[in-house]
Amino acid sequence: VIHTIYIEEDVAEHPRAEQICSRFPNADRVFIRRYGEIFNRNGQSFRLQKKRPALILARKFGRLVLPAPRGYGIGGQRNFYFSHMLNCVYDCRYCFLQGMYRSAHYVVFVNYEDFEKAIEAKLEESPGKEAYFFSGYDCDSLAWEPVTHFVKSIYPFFARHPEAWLELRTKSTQVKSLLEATPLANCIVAFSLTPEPVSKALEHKVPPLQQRLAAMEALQERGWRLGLRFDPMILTEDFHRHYRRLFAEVFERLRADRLHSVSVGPFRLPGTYFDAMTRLYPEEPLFAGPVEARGRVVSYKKRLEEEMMSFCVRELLPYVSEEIFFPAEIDGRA
Amino acid sequence: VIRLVVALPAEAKPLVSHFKLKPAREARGFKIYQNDDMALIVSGVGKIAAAAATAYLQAWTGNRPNGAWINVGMAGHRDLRLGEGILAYRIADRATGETWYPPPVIESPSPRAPVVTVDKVEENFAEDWVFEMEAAGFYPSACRFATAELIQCYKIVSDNGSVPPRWLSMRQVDELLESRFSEIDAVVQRTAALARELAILNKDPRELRTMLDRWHFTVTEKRRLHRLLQRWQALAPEKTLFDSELARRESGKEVLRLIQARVESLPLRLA
Repeated sequence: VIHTIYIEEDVAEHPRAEQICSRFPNADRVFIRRYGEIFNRNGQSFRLQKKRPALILARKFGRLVLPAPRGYGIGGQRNFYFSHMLNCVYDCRYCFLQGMYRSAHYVVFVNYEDFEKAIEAKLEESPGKEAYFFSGYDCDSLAWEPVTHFVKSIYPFFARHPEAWLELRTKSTQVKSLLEATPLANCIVAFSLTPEPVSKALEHKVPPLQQRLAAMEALQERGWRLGLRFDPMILTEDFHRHYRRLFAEVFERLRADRLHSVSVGPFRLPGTYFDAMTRLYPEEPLFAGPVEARGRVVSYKKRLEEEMMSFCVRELLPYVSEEIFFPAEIDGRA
Repeated sequence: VIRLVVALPAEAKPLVSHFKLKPAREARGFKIYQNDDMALIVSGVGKIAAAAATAYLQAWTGNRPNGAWINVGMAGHRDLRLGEGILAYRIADRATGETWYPPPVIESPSPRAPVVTVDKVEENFAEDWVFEMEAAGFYPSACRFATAELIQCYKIVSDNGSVPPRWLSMRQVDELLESRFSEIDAVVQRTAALARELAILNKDPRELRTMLDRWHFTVTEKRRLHRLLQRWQALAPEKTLFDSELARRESGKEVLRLIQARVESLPLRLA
């Protein structure tokens, strides 16, 4: 439940802002000039705000679609990401958003039409060539779909542009709108997965694995193309047993031959984010584990990371063909 | 320590009695009342006085970061009933145009409203704001010492469009405040609970003092020791680190090496 909605004066009468506000009729409405007044202020506690985040409705200006970080792709040459929302309704302890933002409030950019124009502009730079657009970098793509209707809004755009691939990255079971729509051949619904014990310990508010698997099964049955993202791969006691079991559970329920892609990548964060997150949660075992800084990135110690990666690759290859398998390059980092 | 800032002795009196505070005789320049958990300062009227009092109270209470801060006071509003309490969701300084937004992390026991700080007593409540004279001094000053979630501004309507601003009698102020003690208590307790959560996080790791008393560490080594002990506590919350093997180490460097080796040998249990 949202108790406070900050609304940029500029979008106060935007139909989408009105529609989102109508979902929370009892929330206090506070009109502001720009969302940065709230979101970017110094001296805020992400951890405390996460207990009761507010919603900010804003207009996104400028760089709406950005080149994806190196190593983020799934086989395409031109990779971009965009975020109609900042921050996530879930509370995953490993999530870099905690280290990147000062505020845990949710920002929704309601000018979806401008995202479409920006994506179209990227397509026009190389007419007819494929490009991949990743949603869900700064938020979960589907978790708040009943509130934002973002996917429903951009669906017709991607239906008109088969050369534009859309990846919806999620941990959510909010798939109703997708199940009601005709599947798009150029859309990948990509689920991030960790073993159940890891999820229970670190992915707060995320639906249980079994419910997500059920949502994935339903989507696959309906004809949607799924991506599996075993990323971040998290070290825990009994790592091998937990991941082996996860892979077995997933491929027992899903048809591997119908998957779009499978990727696996280790836990890694920019050092400055890792430090900020450690200050927020000094008691968190995840941050107390065997990590090291390599360049500007903090990740598991190299030999350990290589061992974890090669284990997962070895375990996944019997299920997944190499053409759709994208293990992260250990040293391919921003 | 929970820190309260009020403008007038008449506002302080019922709160001092309610929270069982005692006068701090050594305070200079401002009247302060306190007990083990709370300190209240009487700032005087106006935003400059409020800012100065807030800074003085911070220093008076030991200059520790991230305490709970609450400004309690009387205010005017066009339509709200006399005695109505509100929690500020926006604080604006009418003279400078500056605006602040206290993050709405605590559940508010009262309606929330925008507050505007004016330099002279407002007699014409033209806008739908709560008018008062201290919040825009108190809030940015408190923000220097605590994260914004721990700073609240609670106002009680003492004048409105029908009852113009006037000097209230002590008894009337007493009655207005007493009628809102339950709301003030709720704001104090909820904000203090957030402050406690941060205090636990910022607490030194369990065995830090023992180590610092026994060995010499450089500033960099102290930081490393601090983090190693935090990691130990996160991974083995039930285990003590100090033992005879550690006691035999002669230098801080040797201690750090041994602790690091022990931390890295611990299994990573996530929950």
